[in-house]
Amino acid sequence: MINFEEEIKKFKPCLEIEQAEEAIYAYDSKDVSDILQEMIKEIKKEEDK
Amino acid sequence: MENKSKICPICGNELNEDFYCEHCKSVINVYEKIINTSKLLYNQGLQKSKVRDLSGAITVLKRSIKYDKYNMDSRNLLGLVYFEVGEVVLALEQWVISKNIEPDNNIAEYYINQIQQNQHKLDKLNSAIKKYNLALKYIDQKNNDLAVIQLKKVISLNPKFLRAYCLLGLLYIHDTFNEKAKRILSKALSLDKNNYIALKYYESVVESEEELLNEATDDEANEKIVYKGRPKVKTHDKNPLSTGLIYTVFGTIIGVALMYFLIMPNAVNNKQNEVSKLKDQLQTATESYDNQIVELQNENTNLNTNIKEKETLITELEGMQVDLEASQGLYDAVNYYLSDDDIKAANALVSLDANQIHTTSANAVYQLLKEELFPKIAKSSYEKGYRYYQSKQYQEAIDQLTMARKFEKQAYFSDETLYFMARSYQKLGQSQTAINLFTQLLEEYPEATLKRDATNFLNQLSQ
Repeated sequence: MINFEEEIKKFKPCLEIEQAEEAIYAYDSKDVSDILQEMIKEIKKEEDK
Repeated sequence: MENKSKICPICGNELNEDFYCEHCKSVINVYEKIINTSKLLYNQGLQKSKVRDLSGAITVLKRSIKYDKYNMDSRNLLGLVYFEVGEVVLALEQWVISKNIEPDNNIAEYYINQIQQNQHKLDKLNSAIKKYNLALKYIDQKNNDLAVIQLKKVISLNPKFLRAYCLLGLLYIHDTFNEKAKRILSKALSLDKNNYIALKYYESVVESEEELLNEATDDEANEKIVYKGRPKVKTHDKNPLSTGLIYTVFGTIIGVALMYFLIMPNAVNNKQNEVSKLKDQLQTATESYDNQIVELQNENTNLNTNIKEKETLITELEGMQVDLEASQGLYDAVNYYLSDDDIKAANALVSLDANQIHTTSANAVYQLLKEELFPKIAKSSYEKGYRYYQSKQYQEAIDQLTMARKFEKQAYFSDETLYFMARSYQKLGQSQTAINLFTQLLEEYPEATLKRDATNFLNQLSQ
């Protein structure tokens, strides 16, 4: 049985078109390669120390 | 355009386009594997999109661009799928990022242009979003009827807005409009056949209907048990004379039974269909009536608000009118004062209501003029009045003394002003006015210098 109050909490307001710019700036575009390269850089730093 | 070059996990130097490290002299396969995984996910996303499993497509396409953010096919398709489920902003987000990464030969540009060139369509889509958000607010305020109306408008503005369908379905379930909920959720599922929320709600409606059906079947079974329990009709002994009659009755019963089993079901079914159609019509009419009531109530509320606003405006305007009149009076007083006509200036000030002067500067001017003019004119009028009194010109004395009273009531000569006014009236034979003024003098100025004389005259006049 559906719990109305619980279900309604799952519906969040939609971004309006005026807010699209903010959303684009805030978008996290990091991919797996970026993460991998960050890890490599950190490992290299540790090795250099 | 972003730098797409990768670094070697062994030495940390940059790889070339074929993922070859010049320093280590080896090909680094891991990046290629990542990119291939992204492409594989794109293919899955494309397949899912083609069979309108849009939720599934969104999930895999998001994963695809998490593997490779430069996979423009995935990103553009994700935007397209978002747009197909009414998520305009999310679609634009993907296309704008795509165009930013790959400015040339990118279909994202075409999509963005298509949206931007049709301002009317864009306005409609944005209006749908705003109304959806408004509907959520109404629900938060426990105003579900208004939310339903808003969501219907949302769907008419953007018939692909999946979230709106699901929310409307949920509201219908809450209000136990199961048929409507099923209809609206079916539409949602026709847009996105594996939408988890729509499926869950739809199944919930079906389950509740089945439960109702089971309850109804149980009730019928109970009724049958009751019939079984009823006492049997007594049988009579066989009588040859009644056998024919029994056969006739038996034949009639069979005929009726045949009619009941063969003809009646169709008739009953037809009637049931008619009843169910009528019920549907009644429900639709009731609902439309309810919507109209809600809309009328809203209009009424809006009209009341407008009336209140107008009343407030009128009050403000009246206030402004009063301010304007006060300002005009003050302006006149200043003008008279500047042209050395102190009496007119003082009269203009007296006719002003100090409470209606609201600005600090105007009030300061008012106080300044009042302090400057009132004592001066009062004293001068008193002196003139007294001189007229002494020269027995009583009416002139009264005019001057009245003016002195008008501008000053607490000066050292105020009691005498009242005394000589009373005396002038006495001399003119206006005894009652004289009595009133002597009485006023004794009440207002108990320490008056001419108190004894005033008392004597009052006694004389009162006799």
